[in-house]
Amino acid sequence: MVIEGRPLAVPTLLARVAAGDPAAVREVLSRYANLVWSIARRFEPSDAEDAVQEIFLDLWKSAGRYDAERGSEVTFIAMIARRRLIDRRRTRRRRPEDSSQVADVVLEELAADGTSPAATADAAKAAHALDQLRPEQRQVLVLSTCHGLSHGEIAQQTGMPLGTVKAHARRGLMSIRAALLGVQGEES
Amino acid sequence: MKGDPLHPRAAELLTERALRPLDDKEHWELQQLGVDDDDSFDRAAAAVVVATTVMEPMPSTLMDKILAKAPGAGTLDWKRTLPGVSMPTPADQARDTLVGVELSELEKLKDQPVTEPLIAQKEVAPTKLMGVPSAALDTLPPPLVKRPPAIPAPSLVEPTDKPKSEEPKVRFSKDSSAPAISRTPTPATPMPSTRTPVSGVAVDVPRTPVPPADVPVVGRAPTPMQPITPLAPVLATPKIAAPDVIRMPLPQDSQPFSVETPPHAVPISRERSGPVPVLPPDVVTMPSRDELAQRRAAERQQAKTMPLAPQRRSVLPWLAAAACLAVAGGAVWWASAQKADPPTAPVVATTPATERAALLANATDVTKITWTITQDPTSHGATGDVVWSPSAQRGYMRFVGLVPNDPSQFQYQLWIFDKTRDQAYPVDGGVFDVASNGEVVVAINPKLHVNDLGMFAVTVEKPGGVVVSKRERIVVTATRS
Repeated sequence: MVIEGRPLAVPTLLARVAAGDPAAVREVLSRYANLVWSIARRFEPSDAEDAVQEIFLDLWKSAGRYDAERGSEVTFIAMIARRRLIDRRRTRRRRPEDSSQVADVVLEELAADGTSPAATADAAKAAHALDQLRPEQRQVLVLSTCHGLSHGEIAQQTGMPLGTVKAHARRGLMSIRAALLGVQGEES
Repeated sequence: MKGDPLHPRAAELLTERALRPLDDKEHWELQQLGVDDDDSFDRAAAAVVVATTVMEPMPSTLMDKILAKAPGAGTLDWKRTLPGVSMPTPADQARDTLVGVELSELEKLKDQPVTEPLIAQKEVAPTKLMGVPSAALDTLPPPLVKRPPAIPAPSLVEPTDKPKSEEPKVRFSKDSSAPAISRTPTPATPMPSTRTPVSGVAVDVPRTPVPPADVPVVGRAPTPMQPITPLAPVLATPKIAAPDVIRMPLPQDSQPFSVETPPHAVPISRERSGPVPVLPPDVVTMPSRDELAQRRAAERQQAKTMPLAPQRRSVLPWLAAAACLAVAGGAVWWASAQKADPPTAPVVATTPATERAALLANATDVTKITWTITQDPTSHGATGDVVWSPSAQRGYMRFVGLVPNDPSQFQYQLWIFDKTRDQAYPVDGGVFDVASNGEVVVAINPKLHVNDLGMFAVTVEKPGGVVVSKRERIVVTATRS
């Protein structure tokens, strides 16, 4: 007898991690360790090792919240990484001896060997949307999202007025989000 | 494309949340707007990060550290279960024995006399029997495995023909409408007692430590397998230990058989509201009436000394209006003054070439580097140089013979390599166009401070430039010696 029904959903890699599958943990590390490490290096060049360990601890605990219908796995992991790094940066800012870290943050990236992981759908859309932004908008957005600089720090680094920095960051991110969701975004 | 229905303020707050931590007030506002769980902006920011990240290999030593702390390494228990309940590993979990059993086979068994046991002669967990027809249960033989004798315990239901020291068991009987599943608790783990007959099922867990076997037995069922419901008076007697009795009515019952309770099983009550634990007197202390009165008086006194906000609010609009008037008046005066007194000094038009000459003449720390061309067709036969002043953070590129570009097709983009920064992340020097084959001078406007110049590089990129260059077309370079 053939029973018709919905096909069984294949558990995602993160769902397997949430279920306690050690093999899934190793697979996540083999796939995304370099990405998380690279992101942490941009946020915290001097303390990336501690940051990466914290990120993966967060990831093991948050793996069950991943919803494949809302985005790709790599975006979810990058989101977890960003949140942890932003928290660390906020904590670091409270310590005055670490304020010099801001000066070490660079503006743009030049892929050395074309290994920028824009292979996923989300990242490809984001890259395309980034190219559509005005240069100064793109500059502010990259400094803000990829390096964790505050609006004030970006204004100080670039010489733009604070209000302009805020507007660029906000409109730039809304444009990227609109591209990901397929909705009409704000005019850039 | 469809429009985005997100509230503007919600969009603003969600954008801010993706870029920086929100404060408590902003969090509250997000919750009020009902978009607190919207992570689309966070995902957009994450996608930007993924799209612009240059991959670097993680050190293997760090990988080992992460693996040591990962789930499965024994250092992190990330599974969430009932407090105090350890989840069995998948290999130990009892499975539904009906999976894989054809119902038609069970139907056949009901009709024919059974001569062989349905289930192999081995221990089975109670959960594996759920759903099996009673006819099949009739055929179950007693377990062959010899178990150690269980610790005797008193029972509220005392079958007349059963010894007191019977081990933990599940009993099914045909001669009763309410058979019982009795489970003897482990004496070393006393649990709070709850006892609620629910639809013929009584789950009893001892409130007090289980007494030794010689404690007199109280309570007796009218019939051997009938549940006793009026248990409260019995429990009210402090010295009487309540036994652990679970009764389940079954439509048909077979001969009794016993199964062993798993050693890690935790009795679970079906009663939701358990007895409230009594805290020691020093844990919870309620303030007296006098103390409460003193607190209220202090709060009232404090409230009296606070400044009144409405008075300040009433003045602010007037001050703002006055400031606006002053600014407007100043602007009118300035505009009229400009018209009345036109500038007399001649405007000198400056070009990048003149600015370059001025920089070379005035700055004392100017570095001049000649371009090195590459195999890219745009630089064949090109010459020129770049001058840079570290103190002024200004410089100029000069090209002769560089192929003119169509800005709608491609643009040139300058990258500045700073020795104090990671060489994988050069500073963006901006995009520029070349209009003719003649001499072209382009001003350099770095987006960040260049601490120690290492090299200039010009690439060919798409119109508007790129965030991440693939370095597919490098036109010229200039390395500082």
